[in-house]
Amino acid sequence: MVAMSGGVDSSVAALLLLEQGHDVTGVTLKLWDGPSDTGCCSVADVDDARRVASQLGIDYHVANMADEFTAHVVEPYVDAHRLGHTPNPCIECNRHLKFGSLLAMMDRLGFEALATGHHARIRSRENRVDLIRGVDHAKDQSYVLSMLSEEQLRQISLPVGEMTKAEVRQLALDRGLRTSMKPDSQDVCFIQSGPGRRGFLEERSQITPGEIIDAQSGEVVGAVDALELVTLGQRQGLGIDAEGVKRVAVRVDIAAKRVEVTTPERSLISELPLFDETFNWVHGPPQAESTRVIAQLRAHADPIICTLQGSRLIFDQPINPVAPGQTAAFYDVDDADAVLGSAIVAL
Amino acid sequence: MQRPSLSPEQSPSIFFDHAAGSPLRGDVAQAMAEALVGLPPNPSGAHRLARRTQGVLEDARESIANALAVDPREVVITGGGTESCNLGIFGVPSPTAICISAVEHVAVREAAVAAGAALGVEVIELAVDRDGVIDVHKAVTVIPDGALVSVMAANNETGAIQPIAALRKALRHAPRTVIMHCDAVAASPTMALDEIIASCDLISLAGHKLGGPPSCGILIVKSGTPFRPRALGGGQELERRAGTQDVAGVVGMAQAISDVHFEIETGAVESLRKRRDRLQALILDAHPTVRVHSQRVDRLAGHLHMSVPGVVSEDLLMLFDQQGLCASAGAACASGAPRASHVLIAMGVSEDDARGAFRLTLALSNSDEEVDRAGEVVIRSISRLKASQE
Repeated sequence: MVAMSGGVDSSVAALLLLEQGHDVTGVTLKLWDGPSDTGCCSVADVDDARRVASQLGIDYHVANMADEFTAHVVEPYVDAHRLGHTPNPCIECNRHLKFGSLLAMMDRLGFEALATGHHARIRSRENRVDLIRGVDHAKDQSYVLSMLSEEQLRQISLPVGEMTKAEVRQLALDRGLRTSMKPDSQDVCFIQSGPGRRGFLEERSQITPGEIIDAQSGEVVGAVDALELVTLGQRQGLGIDAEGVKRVAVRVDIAAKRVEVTTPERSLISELPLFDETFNWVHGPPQAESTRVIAQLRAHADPIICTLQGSRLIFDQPINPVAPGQTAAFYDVDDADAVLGSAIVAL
Repeated sequence: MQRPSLSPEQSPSIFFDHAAGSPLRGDVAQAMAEALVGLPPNPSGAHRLARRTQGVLEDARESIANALAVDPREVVITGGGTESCNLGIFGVPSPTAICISAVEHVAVREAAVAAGAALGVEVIELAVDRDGVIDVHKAVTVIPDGALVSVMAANNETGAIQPIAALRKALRHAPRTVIMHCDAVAASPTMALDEIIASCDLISLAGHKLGGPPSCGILIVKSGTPFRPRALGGGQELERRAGTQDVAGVVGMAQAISDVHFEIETGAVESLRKRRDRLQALILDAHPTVRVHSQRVDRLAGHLHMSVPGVVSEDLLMLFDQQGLCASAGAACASGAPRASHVLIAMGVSEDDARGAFRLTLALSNSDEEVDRAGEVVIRSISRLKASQE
C-alpha cells in the first residue's frame, strides 16, 4: 500500500515499487476537511494522486481519517499553542495517522508493507531494522520519522530515500507523471497562507497580547499582540535593545501575559529537558545513564553531538534555545545516519 | 504477520454500482450515433438544415413526453440531473419557504440552502423515520401555504420510496397551495413514474441513471407553474433554459426512457427485485448482524444498502475492489473519501454504523451468476474484517 499525497515523492515511490514487480495499491488519506492551499490535502491534490495512480495502472482509494486527524493532530496543535509551546503537527500526523491508523488499515487488509514518499531509508541487516537518513541530506526526512518503533519500521518501505530530489523529479518527468513539476508542499497542511497560523488559532482559540519583559531587569520593554505565536528562541518581532542587539524570547508565559527576552548571548542554553513519557527508542533505551548522541532539534537543523543524561540533553557548547513541543531526534555517534529514537522537548 | 491478498490476479468485474450511473445502452449509443448524420448540431437557424435538426430534437421530445404522459411543452432539456434539480429549486420565483426532506440528494439540498439564503426564506427540513420515509401528517403541519416542497421519489442511497402522491393529496386536503418538485433521478430506472408526475409540478430526471447519456437531464415543468430560468442567453427551451441542446443526447435520452418504460411495463423489474432479495438473503444468512437499511419499507428493486458493525466503508470497498466487485459507500465527499451520510444520520443511524455503510445497486443487466459471486465476495470480505477485529 502506498500512501499518496499527490506530491512527486509519493508518486515516484509508487512507480518504483510497481517497476520492482510489487502489487501496488495507492491510498490517499483525507485528513483535513477545511480549505487548503499548501499542496497537500486539497481536493486538487487528491485528484493529482488519483491521476498518477491511473497513469501507473494501479488501484486507488481515498480513506477518510478526518476525525482522527482532528483529534490527534489539530486539537493538540491548538492546545499546545495555548500553553505557549511550539508543536510539530507533522510529527503527530506521522505518529497517529500515517504510521498509526494507516498502518493498522494496511495490516487489516492484508498488505505486506506500507510505503511512503519520505526521503529516508530502511536498512535491514540480519534481523535488525534501522531507519537511516536519506541519500539527499538536504531533503532528509528521517527527523519526522524518528518516533517510529522497530516493529513499525519492519512494515514500512521508503523507496525514494536512495535518490536525490532531483533524481526523483527526473524519473517522474521521464515517465510522464503529472506531478513531476509540482512544487513541494511547504508548511502545515491545514494552515492556509492567507489567514496563516494566527487566523487559524484565532478561529479556534484565542490570541493573547502581552508585554515584553527584559529577563534581567524585569522591565517592560515592549508589547506583542500575539503571545501564542511567539516561539522560544525567536529573534523576530521582539525589537532591539539599547545596544541595537536583537532580543531573543527565552520564556513565554501566556497566563501572566508576558514574554521574557534577553540578548542572544544570554539566551544560550547548555541543557535541554525532554518529556520522559515521549521517548521512543528504535532498539530499546541506552544501557548507560549517560550516553553520547547526535541530536537534531529541528527538521533542517544541523545535528549536534551531545550527551543524553536521563531525560536531559547536555551540550558541549551552549546552543540557541529550543521551543517546548519540538522533537529532538537522536542519531548514533558510531553510525551518524542511523536514528536511535526521539523525544519531545519540555520546558 | 502477512496475510495473502484475497485475489492476486485481476478478477472479472461485477458492476453493482448502477445508482452512480449505468453503462450506455447499446441501442441508445446507436440512436445517438445516427441522430444527426450529415446535419448541423444546432436546431436553431433560418435554414432547412437547422429545421431538420430541430425536427430530430422535437421527435425525441415528443417520444419523451409520451412515455412520461406529459405535454411536449412541459419537457425542458437540461445538461444533467444536478442541473435539473438546481433548476427545479431555483426556478420557482417566490416561495414562502422551501421544504425539503431530510434525505434529499445534495443537488437538491445544497440548492435549497442557497436559494433560501438568496430569497431570505426559511428552509424547513421534513423529518424521516428510522426507515428514511417522511411522515405525511407531520409534514403537512410544518409546510406553509405558498411553499416550494421538494421530496425525492425514492432515495438514491437506501432506495426507500417516499409517499409523494399521499403528500400531495394531504396538502390539497389541508388545504395548502404549494409547488411540488420531485427529484425522480434515482427512482426512474426501476419505478413507474405516473403517480409522481401526476402529483408534482416539477420533476427532475437524469440520462446516465437510465443508461442514457450523462450530458442530458430533464426537468418537467407543468404548464401553469411559475418559473424563471437560471441559464440565460439564447432563450432556448421556451425561455426556460438557454443553451444549444445536445440533440443527439436528447435522442439517446428518449431511447433510454423508452427502454426503461418497456422494462417496467412488462414486469422485468420484478426479476431484478428477486435477484436483489436473494443477494440480501445470502449475505444475512452468513452474517446476521449486518444491518440492511430501509428493508422494512418499499424500496427500489435494485437497491441494497447495508452497514457492518465495527467496520469502516473504506476497508469493505477496498476488499470488494480487489475482488472485482464494484460498489459504493453511498456517500462520499468531493475527494472521493467515504463519509457518514446525512441520509443515514437523519434515519437515526449512529455515526459508527453510518461509517461502515456500503451500497450495492443492481440492474436488469446483472445476472444470477453475478449475484452468486458478489455474495461470496461480500461474505468473505466481512468475515475477514471481523477476524481482524479479534
